[in-house]
Amino acid sequence: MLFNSLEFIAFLPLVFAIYWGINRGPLRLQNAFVLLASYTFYGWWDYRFLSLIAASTLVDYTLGLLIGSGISDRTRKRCVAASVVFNLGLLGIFKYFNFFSESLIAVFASVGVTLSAVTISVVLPVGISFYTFQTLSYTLDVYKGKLRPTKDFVAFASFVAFFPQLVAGPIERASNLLPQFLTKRKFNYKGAVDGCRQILWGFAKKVIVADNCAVAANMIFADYESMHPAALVLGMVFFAFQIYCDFSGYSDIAIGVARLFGFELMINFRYPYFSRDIAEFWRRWHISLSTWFRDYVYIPLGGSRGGKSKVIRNVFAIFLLSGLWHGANWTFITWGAINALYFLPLLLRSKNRTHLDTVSTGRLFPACADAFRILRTFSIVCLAWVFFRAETIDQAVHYISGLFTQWGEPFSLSEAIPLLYIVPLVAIEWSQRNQAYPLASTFRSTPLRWALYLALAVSIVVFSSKDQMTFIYFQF
Amino acid sequence: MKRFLIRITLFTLLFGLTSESVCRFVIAVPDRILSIRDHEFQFDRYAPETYGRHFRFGAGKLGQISNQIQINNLGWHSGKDYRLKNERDPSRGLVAIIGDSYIENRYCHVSTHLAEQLRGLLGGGCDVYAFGRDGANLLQLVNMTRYVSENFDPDLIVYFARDGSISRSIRELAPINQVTQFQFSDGDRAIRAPDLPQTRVHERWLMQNVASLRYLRSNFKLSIRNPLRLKQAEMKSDPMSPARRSQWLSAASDSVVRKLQKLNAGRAFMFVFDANRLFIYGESSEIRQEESVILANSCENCDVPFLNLTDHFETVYALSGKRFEFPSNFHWNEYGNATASQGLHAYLQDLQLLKISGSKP
Repeated sequence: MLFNSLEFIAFLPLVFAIYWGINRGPLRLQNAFVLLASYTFYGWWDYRFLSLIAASTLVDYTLGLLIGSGISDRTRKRCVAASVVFNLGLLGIFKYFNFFSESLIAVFASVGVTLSAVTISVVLPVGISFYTFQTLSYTLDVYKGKLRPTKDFVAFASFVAFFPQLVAGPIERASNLLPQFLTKRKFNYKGAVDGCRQILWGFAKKVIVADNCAVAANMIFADYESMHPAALVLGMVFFAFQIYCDFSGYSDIAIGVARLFGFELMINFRYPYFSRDIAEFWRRWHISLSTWFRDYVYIPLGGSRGGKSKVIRNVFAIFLLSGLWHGANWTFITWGAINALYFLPLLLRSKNRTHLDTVSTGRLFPACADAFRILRTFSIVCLAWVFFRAETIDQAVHYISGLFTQWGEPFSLSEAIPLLYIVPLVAIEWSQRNQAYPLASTFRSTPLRWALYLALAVSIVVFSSKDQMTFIYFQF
Repeated sequence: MKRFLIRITLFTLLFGLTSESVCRFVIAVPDRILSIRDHEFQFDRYAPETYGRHFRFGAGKLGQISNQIQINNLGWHSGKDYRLKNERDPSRGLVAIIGDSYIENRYCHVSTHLAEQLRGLLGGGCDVYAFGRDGANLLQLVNMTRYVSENFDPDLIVYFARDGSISRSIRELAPINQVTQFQFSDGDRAIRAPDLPQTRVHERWLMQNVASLRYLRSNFKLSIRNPLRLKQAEMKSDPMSPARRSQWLSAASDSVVRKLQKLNAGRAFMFVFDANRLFIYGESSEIRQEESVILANSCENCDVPFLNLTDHFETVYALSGKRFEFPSNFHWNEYGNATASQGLHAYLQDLQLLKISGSKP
């Protein structure tokens, strides 16, 4: 089920009413209802893939109990390895099998050895990269002793399948979300209102900005060979805002919906395009994934300790894995490698933690130096996005070289129309950059506040784009 | 909780009212026009009770294209009433143009339609009736021909087709199955009745009366279909080889042309085709002419005149530099209608398909 579908418009109030209706009953009943609702939400897409979630849940629940049951260290290690192999195995089969098989064939073909193709024809289960990482975090945390294993299977299954963030994150940590399933929730008026505001903001970003930018970006990327460099620059900017508003919009809706049910999910985006360097960007972009890789890959590998070669290896490891996580394609891996190359100089010069505060605090406009840094960071991020968006590395290279060499069709102003959606978004986000999300705190006067909400809601209806519906991150 | 529910209900009501007001008074949201299914001939046309009324049509975000629709006595979008064959003046000729939304043409005023412009070019001795229905595929032209022949007995029938007309006739290739189609299962070709949507009374009432819902439906693809599920179905189905696809398209096209030849025994008829126009403007290097080539071959095999308007559009664009469609929509604008009618008129004269007194030389 998509957040921006008719089904969800009916599903959400119904689930909300029943959920709070049974709140006076036992916690287990409420959790069982969350589980049922989550499985319905996912099964609406394809009920057969529920078996994967159920299997992942069962395996990690059992292994978690085993790891925490006082068995020997060796067995604990075997259990955690089993969990890693199982979850990554699921990903490997459903997401990467064909990619690795085809890449291997290509490698052998380049040295004159022909292998017969072994590929499997299977649909990529929606959200598999998200829930496998989420459930994996549980066994890893239990293994590290950060979390006690739960005996409550229903609560654990609800944590794995919790519908607001099941298919596109944020990738929750067991240590944050699981305890919330184990304690009684109380309806919180402020939290619920805040949730509604965040849902509204998420929808506005997705429907007004992302979908409209998508139309323009698709057009430019589809015909980039005959485009004027100015149009190519716009194509990059539109895609940058498409992916940001699409994904962060989803996260906002997910966090908002979870709040309606009394849950707090982690923040996934913190105005990443106002970053002053790439390190700050990665602290603000897809936070749940980058911290996942930091905690479960980078730090166990040694992090930034050790010699330079070790640091370089570790940085490349997380960025390449992050690229691969997004999809089974060399373009994503290249995107990861480019980001590693951006990030490494900062880390090696120990300048990766220079910008920890909010940019230009207390100022209406950014200071010149900050503006320059923001623009510089945004530009290099956009260049990397070309690899993320392109279908092949060749295409991305041609696109970027076209920025400097190609003087095709004259540039038409009509191509810049999505800027009409982007500029207000940037202005609003800039003015509210101290808040968790822009609508968190606006006008004090209730009529003014309501007028703003109404204007946004009506704009969603009026400016909705005909051509986009799905969220980009569903495919990951 | 109570406070929250009251507030959320109040906000929902205000939101509904504001959107409805914006859609009704600011944006040209199209009116819902009641259609009926002609079960005898298996296609839809506007209901008789819509006769004489004017409806608002709008397309695109913020209603960039707006127009007034006029339904005639027999349920067609036309400024003129149609006369049945027994009511017609025998001294006047009749050209029937049968096609899809390009011929129905809700985007332009009735006075600028292809049919009207062609009537002007043909002179006073001839009427031109347009029978266009949004979404009509090539196979539906057969059903519509039965209706037109039986009720109007025209001297010439001009069939309009474009990129997608043939593929929409094939159930396996079409995204929508609400019209009569070919089905190519197990190597056999069969004609399959449409899957008619089950519209419930309250749904119909809502669509009829709530402008914001109509706006959302036309601009937001508001429907109960799940795009992910559609994508999955698409991915699950066997990828079709271009050769197989082309074979099906040719078989469908041949079949339709032969059926039309049989139905029009003794009557002149021809095909007009409008292909992808983007390459004319240099906006796309892709020249999608697959269906035009297939249909042209079918017509050639059956000795049926075939006019591909693309060449005419290309020549005219080179001279005028004016586009034939709306910036936000690929349907013909007034200029596109005028150009198409000129191209068609010139072709009719060259071939002398229409031998009617009063026709302009």
